[in-house]
Amino acid sequence: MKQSVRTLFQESADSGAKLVGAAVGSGMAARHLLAGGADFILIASGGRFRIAGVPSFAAYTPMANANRLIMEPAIHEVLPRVGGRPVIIGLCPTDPTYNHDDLLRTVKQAGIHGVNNFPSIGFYDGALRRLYENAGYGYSREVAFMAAAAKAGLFTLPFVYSEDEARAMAEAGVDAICANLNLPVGPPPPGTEPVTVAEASFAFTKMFAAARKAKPDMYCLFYCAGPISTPEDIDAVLQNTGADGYMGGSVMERIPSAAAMEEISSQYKKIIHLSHENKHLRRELIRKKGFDEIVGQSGVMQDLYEVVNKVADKDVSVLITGESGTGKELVVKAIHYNSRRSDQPFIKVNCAAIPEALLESELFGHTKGAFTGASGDRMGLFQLADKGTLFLDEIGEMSLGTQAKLLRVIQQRELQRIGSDRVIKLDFRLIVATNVNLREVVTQGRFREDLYYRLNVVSIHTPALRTHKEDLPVLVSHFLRRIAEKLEQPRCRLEPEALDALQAYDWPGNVRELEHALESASVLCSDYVIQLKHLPSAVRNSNTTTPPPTRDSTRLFPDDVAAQPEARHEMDEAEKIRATLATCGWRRDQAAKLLGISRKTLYNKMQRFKIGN
Amino acid sequence: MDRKEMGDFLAAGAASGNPFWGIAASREGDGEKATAAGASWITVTHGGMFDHRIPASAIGLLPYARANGEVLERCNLARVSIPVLAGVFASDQFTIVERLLDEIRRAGYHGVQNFPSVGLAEGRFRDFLHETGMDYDREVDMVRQAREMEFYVSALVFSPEQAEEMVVAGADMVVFHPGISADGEFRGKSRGTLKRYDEIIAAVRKHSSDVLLTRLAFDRETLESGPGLTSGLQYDHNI
Repeated sequence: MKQSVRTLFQESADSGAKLVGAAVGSGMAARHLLAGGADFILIASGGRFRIAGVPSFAAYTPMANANRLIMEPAIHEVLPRVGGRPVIIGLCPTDPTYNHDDLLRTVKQAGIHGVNNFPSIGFYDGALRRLYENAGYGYSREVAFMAAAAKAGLFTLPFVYSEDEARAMAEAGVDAICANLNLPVGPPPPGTEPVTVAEASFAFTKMFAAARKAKPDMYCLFYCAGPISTPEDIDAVLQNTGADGYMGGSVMERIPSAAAMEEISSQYKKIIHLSHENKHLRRELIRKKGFDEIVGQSGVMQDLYEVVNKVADKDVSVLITGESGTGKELVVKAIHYNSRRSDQPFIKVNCAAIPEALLESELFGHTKGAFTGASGDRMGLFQLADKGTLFLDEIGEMSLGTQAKLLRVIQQRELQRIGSDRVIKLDFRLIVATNVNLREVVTQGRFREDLYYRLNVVSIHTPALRTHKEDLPVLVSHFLRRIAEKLEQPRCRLEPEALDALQAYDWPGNVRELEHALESASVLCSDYVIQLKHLPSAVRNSNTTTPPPTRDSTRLFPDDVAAQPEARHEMDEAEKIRATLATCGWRRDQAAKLLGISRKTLYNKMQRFKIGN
Repeated sequence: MDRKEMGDFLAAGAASGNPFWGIAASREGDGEKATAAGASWITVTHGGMFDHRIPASAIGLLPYARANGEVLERCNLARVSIPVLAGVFASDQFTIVERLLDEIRRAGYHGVQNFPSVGLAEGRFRDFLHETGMDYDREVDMVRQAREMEFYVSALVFSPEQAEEMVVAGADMVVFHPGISADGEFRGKSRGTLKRYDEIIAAVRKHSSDVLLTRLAFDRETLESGPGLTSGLQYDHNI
């Protein structure tokens, strides 16, 4: 035991390296400090107090029997963790409840390498110290204990607090001493003069000299406390005193651990806080996004915003009516992104774009083999919209048969996939839109009245652009900015004549028509200045524009875009073809059949609409 | 015996003209011995289990046992007819005082005393105690808490200032500890000690005429021959 530690100390001295001892309170600290380079461990009751969150000097008070407190952790917690490296145990030699021989026998049998005198009577001073000394509880008892330990073959490394004590321990034949000034780590207690590093070095030097005079081969270490708290301080003391090494307690264990733990818990708290903040910001962004696309400050738009705000977080069905191009879908999105379902799916279905035969399957899903072409199970859009919002656009185009099934799903909040008996529970919010007068369609028998009332819990009307032309400037500004970003070019300006034309035109295609007109003009203009000539002819000639005749008495809100009626029709057809192809897995034979056209016609239309390139 | 009964009993004892004294008790049978010897109260403390040659208030401050745990284990000493106080080490960092006082009540004690007291510490030891919040202020807080919980409270004090603090906190009895002399001896019945005791009395009487006043003594001879004082004594050693 003793020899192995003496060998370590000697090798260190021979190589000129300095010994580092770590005073710990736990096996974990011992393990990590040795792994970091400490040469030996001192396990003492002060360390146990330290890891309990109590100042280590409380080891000097009647909060526990020091010897009983430390023996168990030293043997069962520290020794198994250190891989044979030297362990020295701090024991209280003045403890009247223990016999020195019994203590030393226990230490030796456990395999502990050496002993130290902690808590030491040397800690006390003044009249109380004298009382203890007079009563036989003094330092001499500690010296006697160390002498017995040395004789028993244990390594001895006591704390000394004065030159007399250093000398006494040296004369008792201890292997090493650790000079201790009994100072707390950090600032001095109030009312006391701070001890400087130089003063500490001086005191240590005197203790070392006294010890080495009595025993020249004495290994001399010092304890890091008081002003000695940084590597620079330690280095200064080593240089000034010629010490063979040093020991640290709080400086190695509590202080870095406390700082690290506070830092890590603060970081974790920030993560949670940031996570909440991110969620909050994301929600705010989503809300903003929902409204960002709707532009207008006029009275009718303010009314629209107010209604949207009121219905957004109420889980009710909404029917949105309005001419084509008035931003019905934008309103739907604004509702969704300001609702409690904003984090959940938003699924849009254009009921006019999907062939009737496929619409049911699209909405409700199907099982494998449910019909020709159903090669596998497929989840319907209602299921995809679970927990979220399902937007059915152009609801007026839905067949009566599909309407009946839709009504059942809305009422019962459950569905069965086509070809399956299994009932699937649903949680969704339904918003529908149409540009026809749905009440009229009901009267004509083409739309179920019961479904109409189910859908029309709240009705929102998107105004035609001609009814709020005061919003034109802000709309123009909004689109020109967006177009500039899209085309990656400077923002275009409008000449006054062009602006007048925009104001005069009635915009039967509404906001969508305005956006297209501006995009076209931005591409055609020179030097980013839009002149009258760059605008579509319908707009240029706006003072001669008359509303187009309605094709159908039910269409009170004409959806023809006066400037490009063919283009509108073609857009719908292209969308229909794309949707059908997608549904059929791009099998042209099947798609052509569903569309009611030949394969060749489909191929030609795909070429024309640039579908599938 | 509740707080009022204890108070009445001790006040009657102090006013009787007979020797009025209390003593530390740590071992089995100490309670009966003290009662038989004429003690008016006992303070149960662990200090007496170590060494009679050294005042219990001093050896009780050393890390040889868990003071509060030992007092709770000695609760059978409280089964006597005279008031029994539990010595409470209020600076114990491993306890919540209110819970400890609850345990003391359940153990059968009638009152408490701040024993051992860190008021005896000086120099570096006292600096450390102050720096870490383990100083005498904790004992004043304990007295305040104990009084709220209707314990009879005897407060060990070392100065007139501490005496005032303890009376204001609600102490029923003040025990003046004369401290340790420079050469490490328990200060006995010297002129200096008695002068300081007068100062303690004056400080207490500023606030209360009912609080009992006693002095800590370590004079075994005084015990054998009778205290000979009309104001009380508490002996800082075991019976």
